[in-house]
Amino acid sequence: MECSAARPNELLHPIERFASVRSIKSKTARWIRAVSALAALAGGLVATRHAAAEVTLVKSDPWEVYTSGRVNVFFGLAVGQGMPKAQLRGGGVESALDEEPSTDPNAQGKLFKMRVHSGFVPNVLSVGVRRKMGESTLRAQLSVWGTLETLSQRKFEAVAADFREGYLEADGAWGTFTAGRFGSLFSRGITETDFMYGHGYGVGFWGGTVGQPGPAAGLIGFGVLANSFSPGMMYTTPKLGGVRLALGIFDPVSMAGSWDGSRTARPEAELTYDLGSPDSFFKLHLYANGAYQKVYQGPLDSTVRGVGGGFRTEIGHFHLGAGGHTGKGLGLYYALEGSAADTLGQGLPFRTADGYSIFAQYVLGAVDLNASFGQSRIHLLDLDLQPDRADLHPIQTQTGISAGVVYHLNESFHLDLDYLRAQFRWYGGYKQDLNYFNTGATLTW
Amino acid sequence: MNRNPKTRRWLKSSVALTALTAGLLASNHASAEVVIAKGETWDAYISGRVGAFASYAFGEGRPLPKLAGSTIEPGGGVDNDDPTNDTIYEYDAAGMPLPKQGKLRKLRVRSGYYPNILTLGAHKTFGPNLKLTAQVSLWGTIEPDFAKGSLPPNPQRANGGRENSVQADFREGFMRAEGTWGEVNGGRFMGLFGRGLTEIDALYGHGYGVGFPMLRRSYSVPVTGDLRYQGPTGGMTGFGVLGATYAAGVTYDTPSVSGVKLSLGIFDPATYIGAGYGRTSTPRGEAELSYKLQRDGLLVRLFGSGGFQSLPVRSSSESIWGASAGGRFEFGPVHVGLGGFLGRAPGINYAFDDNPALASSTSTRVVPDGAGGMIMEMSHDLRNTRGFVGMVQVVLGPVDINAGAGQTVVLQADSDKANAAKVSTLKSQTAVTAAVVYHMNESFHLDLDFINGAYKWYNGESESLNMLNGGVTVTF
Repeated sequence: MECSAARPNELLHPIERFASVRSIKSKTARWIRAVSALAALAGGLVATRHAAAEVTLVKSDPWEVYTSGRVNVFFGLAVGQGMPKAQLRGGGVESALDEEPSTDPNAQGKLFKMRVHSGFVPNVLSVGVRRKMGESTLRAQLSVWGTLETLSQRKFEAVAADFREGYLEADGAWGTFTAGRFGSLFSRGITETDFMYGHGYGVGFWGGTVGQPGPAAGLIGFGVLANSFSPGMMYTTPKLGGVRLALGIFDPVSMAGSWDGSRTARPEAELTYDLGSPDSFFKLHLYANGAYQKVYQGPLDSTVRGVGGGFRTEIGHFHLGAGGHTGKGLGLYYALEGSAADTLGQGLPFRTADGYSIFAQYVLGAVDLNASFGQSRIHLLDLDLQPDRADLHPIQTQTGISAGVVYHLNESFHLDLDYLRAQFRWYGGYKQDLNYFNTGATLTW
Repeated sequence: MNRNPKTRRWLKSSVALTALTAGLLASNHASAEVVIAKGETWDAYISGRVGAFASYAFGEGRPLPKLAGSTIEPGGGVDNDDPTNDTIYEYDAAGMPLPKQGKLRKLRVRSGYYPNILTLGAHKTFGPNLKLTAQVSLWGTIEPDFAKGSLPPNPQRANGGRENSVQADFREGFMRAEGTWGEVNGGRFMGLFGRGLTEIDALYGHGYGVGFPMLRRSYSVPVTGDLRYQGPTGGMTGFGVLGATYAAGVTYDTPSVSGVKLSLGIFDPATYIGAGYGRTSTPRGEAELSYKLQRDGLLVRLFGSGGFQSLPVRSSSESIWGASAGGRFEFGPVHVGLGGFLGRAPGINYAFDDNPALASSTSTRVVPDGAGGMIMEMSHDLRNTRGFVGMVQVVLGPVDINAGAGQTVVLQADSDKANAAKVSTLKSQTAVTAAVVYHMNESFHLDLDFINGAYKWYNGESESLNMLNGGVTVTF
């Protein structure tokens, strides 16, 4: 389906993305369809874009009903160090239940843990409807997410279905209006990059524990400050010379335990520039985004704010993406998540968080070769250096190095093997290093 | 089978019922699915059910310890919150509860053994030797959870709040690749160990009924009998049926050779925190060897299955394992299912589900303290459990008449015997059940079932609860 208003992100549109980078030989045509489906699903899952991988269920004028989704399973091994024994603030992988303790109660234990679980995107069921309304298109889509694994690895425990996505979209020559629960803008660009060139069919980092349910995080937390699915309303302009602006307001979040109050909606914005037509050998996507929110604690108030930016480019079979972010009180993993890394406590100022990451992908026939590197950093305040806080050790850096191979057996079936090394460093010299080996399969429709 | 026109409709409904049950239980091919879209090499389908039951419970409440100064170890019985939620006590003139076992009397309107289910899936073929299937199923009871709805007043309820929602359970989400070479399943689907026993209960017992309310209360406490929390209910689960669960895993099934099939799988390991084991390191292996013979009017299905998992302790590890065997036999309208299990802490109610009754709460050992000395700590000696179940179904036209009995036994560890004066441990869970199911057509099913569940502890305490359930299910 093509609408008069172009998509906010042309790289996510399968035809435009792959016409220029894949061979159109009949031998590889099947694979092109496969990766087209991947890109389209990426759009649907990550950025509430049109999912070209969708299956039309019913077409009865004026409505069309479609579905899309995926199921997957991954085997993973985490090997490395347990959490250091100190008063750490933020970051790292909690290991109290799972580590092999050292004979010295004050020494770091070892972690060796296998799981059979979901990946970066868990099982997903999406159902949507669309219809024409004059020159515009109206659409509504609902997505339910569910991991394979249960809370605390309890055998007979329900998997809470997550109504991750539920939004409406009106699209026309005047632009696009989106409302409901959908992917927010800050920092959408780098999250898309991780999905497309990194872990869309893989696992990466398991999150801050090895025994709780996912979904997994890819390179999120290691230079990637991910956007999240949030209640909001967003207007996106039509594309003018490749430039497009998305403006949205989102339900405010509170910083639990530090700044618990919020009163006004959170504005977010993203400016993008796209160069290259669907059949271009060279394509470029630039983005800059940001968010701003006031938070309160009793009579005090403060501001969480951040900006991000980056690019993706596709030159033939070679794909490259990089981005970064900086701001106050942003957290380590998901923008404005509210974490112990952000502040010393209730009503105290926010620390500065920043990060950067780079992704490379080489497309070799039906195989994608992926590699990435990223680092998130937390900068101390003067308050952190006071003598009475000498025993508290905030996270300093989280560095991730990742590599993966994805084989697209056909347009529906995808095999993945990926590795991630996670390095955590706290102020005061404490450290934790972990290696994640993941392999599994994903079936999409 | 009778081929009279009068019963032809019922035959179709029974086939659909059996196929649906098989699809829901064992992630087998769901013949009851309704194709909603179809292409040259693919199709999308939907299936599901909705149901509602009135369920009346009457019997004994939680027992009091027989021996003065002793306690009853948690893990069995009904209404285990402290204080109890539903037990009715007698009081003295001063309003103090009398020191005697209370009673349970409670009527609920709730979901049954299977709650409301919505299943969506798709098939796609790639040539003659590869067929892919993806299927997801959402389960949701009709009753809300403990903290919501019309149950106890929630002090956290905001003014004007509407909070009696029902959380959906993403119970199933798996992919399957199949060909002449066999079948690979990956995702969240029913495990292999315990599957045969669960099939017996679902097909010949409670697939359209309720049975006993063996309920999940929270991730941090064991599954036990309960009248307050939301279902789905358990049928005969916990009474000789060590129920299979849906788990994250990968399995390979060989092709059927003369009716024999071998299934091998690995699954995400289960924690035994309540039993004293928090760590896991390696996946759980499960396997099932099955045999199926089907001829006119005759069906024989035999199964033997097992599972094994290690539970690391310090630098060594304990092992939990279980084995199960049994069979289903259908001779015309008479269907019989028999099976049993045994093992080292393989579960009380559900296979490899944590429960404090799986390990001794009084066993100890001496270990190094890390500073050159020795200390005594809990050793959580694992207990052996075993059980057996038998179920019979007689098909009279559109009516199924079901009956069965089963028992799960927990064997004491040495330390349990030595400390019996202090702690009374769970001894057995026994049930007898009967049901009548009327299949009005292929979609509409009426059920009336009864079950008596009886618990015994080693110091002589006992508890018995009767459940009388009636309701209706619509399948599609």
